[in-house]
Amino acid sequence: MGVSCSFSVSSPPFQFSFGFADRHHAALVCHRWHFLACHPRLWLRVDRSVKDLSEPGVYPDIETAVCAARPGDTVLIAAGGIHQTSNIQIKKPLCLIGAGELPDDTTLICSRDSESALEFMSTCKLANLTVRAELGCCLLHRSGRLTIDGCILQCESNPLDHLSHAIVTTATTPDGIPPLQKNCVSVMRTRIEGGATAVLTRGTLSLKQVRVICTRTSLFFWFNVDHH
Amino acid sequence: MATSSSNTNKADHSKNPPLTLRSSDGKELKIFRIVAQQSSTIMNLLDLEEESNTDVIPVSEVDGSTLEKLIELMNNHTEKSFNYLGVKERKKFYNDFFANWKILDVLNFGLVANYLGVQVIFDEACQKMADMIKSKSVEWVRKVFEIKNDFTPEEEEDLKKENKWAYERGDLDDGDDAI
Repeated sequence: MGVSCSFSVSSPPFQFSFGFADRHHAALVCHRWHFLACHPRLWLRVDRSVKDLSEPGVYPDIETAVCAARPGDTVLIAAGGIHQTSNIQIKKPLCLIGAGELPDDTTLICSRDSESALEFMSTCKLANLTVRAELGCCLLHRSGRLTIDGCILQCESNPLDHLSHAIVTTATTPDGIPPLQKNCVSVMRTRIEGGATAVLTRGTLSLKQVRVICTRTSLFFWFNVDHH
Repeated sequence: MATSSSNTNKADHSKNPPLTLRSSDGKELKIFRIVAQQSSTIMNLLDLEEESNTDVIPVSEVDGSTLEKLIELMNNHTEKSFNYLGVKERKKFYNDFFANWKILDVLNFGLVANYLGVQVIFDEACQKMADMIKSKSVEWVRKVFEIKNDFTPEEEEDLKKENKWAYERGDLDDGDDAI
C-alpha cells in the first residue's frame, strides 16, 4: 500500500490525533510534535464573562470546562474576579493554570458547604492559582499524581478553621509490583496559609522532603506526599 | 467494481452512471456520484473532467489497492444502516476494518483520506494511529515515523522534568508488530 503525497507526518493534519493520545508523551518526539501537542491554541479557557458555549474552547466556569476537556488537556482559567468552585471531581489527566501573572490574580473559592474546591482522581497539575476554602479543604486528593506548582492555598480564619486543611489526601499505596499508577502529591513553591494543617493524610501516604522558605510576608513550601 | 449494494441507490444508477477513477498504477475503479460526494477532491476533479470531456478521473497520487479500500469504506458510509450505528458499534466497525493493519499502512490510508478530502475517514485513521502509538516509547515513534530527534539533551531533560507530572504509564511495549 503506498501513496505519493505532499503531506508528511509533521504536517498540521496530524494535530487531530493528539487530542486522543498521550499528549505529553507525544510532545517528547521532536520540536514539531511538541508544538502540535502542547500549543496554547489547543487549551480550553475559562472566562466568567462568557454567557454560553457559542465560542469553541471557551467556557463560563471551571466545571463545564473540566467536563468538556479530554485527557491531557490544559485548562487556562482567566484572571480577575472569583471563580466559585465546589466539589469539582477531576477523573482525567488535566492541567489547570491561572492566566494571571501571579497566582494571586486567579482565585478559586470553595464555599462553606463544600468538602473541597477540587477533588482529584487522576494525574493532574495545578499551577499559578489561588485556592481558598471557607471550610473543609482546598484540594482533595483521592488518587493519581497531583502536582501543585506555584500556587496559594488558603484556609480562611474562622472559628472552625481547626477543621480546615489545605490539602487532604485519602490515597493509598496501589497494588501490583511495580504499581501501574503511582499515587502521590508534589508541592512546589506554594504558599499555604491558615487551617489546622498544610496536608492531612487519611490514606497510607506520608509527608516527606519538606522545605520551607520564609519571606517577610509569606511561607513557601516544597514537599512530597508519597508512599513509605 | 466497488459499488454500493443498497436498494436505495439502484434507482439512481440509471440517471447517475458511476464515475471512473484511475489510480496511479492504472487501475480503474467505479464509484457512484452519491458516494463520491464525500470526497471534496474527487468533486473538484470531476469539475475539471467535465470541462475536458473525458470519462476518467485521474487520481494519480493514490495506488489502486488503497483507493479500492477507501471506496469500499465510502460505500459503507452511504448505507442507511451505517448512519444508525451507535458510538460503540461505529467504534467496533472501525476496529474490525483496521484489524491487523500495520501502523504505516494506517498512516498511508490516512494520508490518502486527507488528500481526497474525506474528513470522517481521515479522523478515524488518525484515531487508530493515536491508539496504536499510545503504548509506545518515544524512541519507537521516532523510528517508525523516521523522525529525527531535534531536541538537545538539555531541552529533552527540561521537557521531561516539566511534563513529569503527566507520566503515569507502566512499561511501554516496543514490539515491532505494528510496523
